[in-house]
Amino acid sequence: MKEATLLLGSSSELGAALAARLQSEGQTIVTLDAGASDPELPVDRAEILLLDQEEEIKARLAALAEDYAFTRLLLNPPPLGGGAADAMQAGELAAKGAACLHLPLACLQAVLPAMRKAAFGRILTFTSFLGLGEPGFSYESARVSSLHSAARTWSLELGGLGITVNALSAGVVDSRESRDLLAQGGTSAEELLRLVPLRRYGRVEDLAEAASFLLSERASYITGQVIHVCGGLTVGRFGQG
Amino acid sequence: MEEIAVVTGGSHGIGRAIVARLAKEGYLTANLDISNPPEGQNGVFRKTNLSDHEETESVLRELAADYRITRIVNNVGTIQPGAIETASFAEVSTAVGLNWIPAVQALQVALPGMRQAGFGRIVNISSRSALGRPERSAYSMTKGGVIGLTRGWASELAEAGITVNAIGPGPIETEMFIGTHPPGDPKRGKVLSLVPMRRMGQPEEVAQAAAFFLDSRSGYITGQVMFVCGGMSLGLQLP
Repeated sequence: MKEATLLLGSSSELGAALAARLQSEGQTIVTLDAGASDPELPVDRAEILLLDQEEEIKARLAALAEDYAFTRLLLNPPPLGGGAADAMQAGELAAKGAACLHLPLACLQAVLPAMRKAAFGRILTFTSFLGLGEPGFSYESARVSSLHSAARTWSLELGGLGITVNALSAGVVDSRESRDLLAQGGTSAEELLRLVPLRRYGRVEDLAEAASFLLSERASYITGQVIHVCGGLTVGRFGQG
Repeated sequence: MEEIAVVTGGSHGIGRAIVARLAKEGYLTANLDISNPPEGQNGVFRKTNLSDHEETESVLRELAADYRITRIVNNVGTIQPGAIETASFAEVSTAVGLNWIPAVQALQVALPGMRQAGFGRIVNISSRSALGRPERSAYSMTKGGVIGLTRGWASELAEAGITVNAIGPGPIETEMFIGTHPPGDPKRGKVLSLVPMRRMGQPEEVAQAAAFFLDSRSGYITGQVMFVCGGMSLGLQLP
């Protein structure tokens, strides 16, 4: 069976950069996304499916696991979105929250048998600085913090199998998705840029670079970590000149 | 309008100890719980199925019509032990439904009154498990999420004079902990061997932290997580 990398979330600029980078390193990429990805993306297979349909997701993942031995899993799911603390109704949050926490779990469950068999696995979750607390982003903060806790919990549970689990937390990224998300919470990339010590936006390639390392065999002793690729944004509030 | 402190899940364990402590401090409390309060519990009780969002919303709204909610302790929670492979959508949904949603509802209902008062104290009960615990995917994720909510709300509501903090209890001698670690179960000994103090915490020791955050004098502390864990978090990198 073909060894492959499963990438959840390929229609974003980050997803495209990840696919391109990892394919150039010789990985076979399979993508999963609710939307269409760039048809030029060098992927082996691109699956499009609704990400809140529990049964369909499980069936599709099971089918993929019959064709590929996934030893690498990249989790780049869509955000919960911005909005004031009183903006989202309980029912909506309950449904969206459950869907966005379960999706990474469903992907992990699908790839675990192959990773166990290979006694090797690399799991990497893509998150952002919004988990640390920003006005207008409490829901997104909850989602990100959940994924960071998941990285820690999964690293403990899977460490004995040769599987590493980490999270890559981005700062203010120069991408369509990042700008859209910040706007939803009533802020802007420009506003936040003054807090970035390195005085520039993150590029999706900066994230792909760090991801490439964390997914490599060389990164064999790093697990349960949240790695901030943020230009220093998360160091503090004194970055402004 | 009389001020009130809302405590969710105040009939057992940590919640019960918090209600008792707040009463001793002179606060009027409202305990929202599906089970009846212990005998002799002070304050208001509203029988509420907190996993029913509509019911919870209407109970909170009625309370807010009669009292000014200036303090909230989001304590209700649920735990689903099990390996990664067994964590189903239903389990995650239950965890979100009880570990997140009543907290969001309580905040949303109380927020206009807190803004008007220019004062509010919110304490969210997270868990040390947010720092990682094997065979607790749904629990550690949603309890980590509670820390995220805490930091998000803290940053957003700081200007309004509302503080939001979290407590991360370690193994506390409650029905919940004893249920997942019954006496004689090797898991119980294993967990306690990881606690530098070599004992379970008492619910009153968590209530101590809650009372501190809820105090009107604790006004410059927000967005923080206090682990009440017998030292179990020592040596760990905090989120």
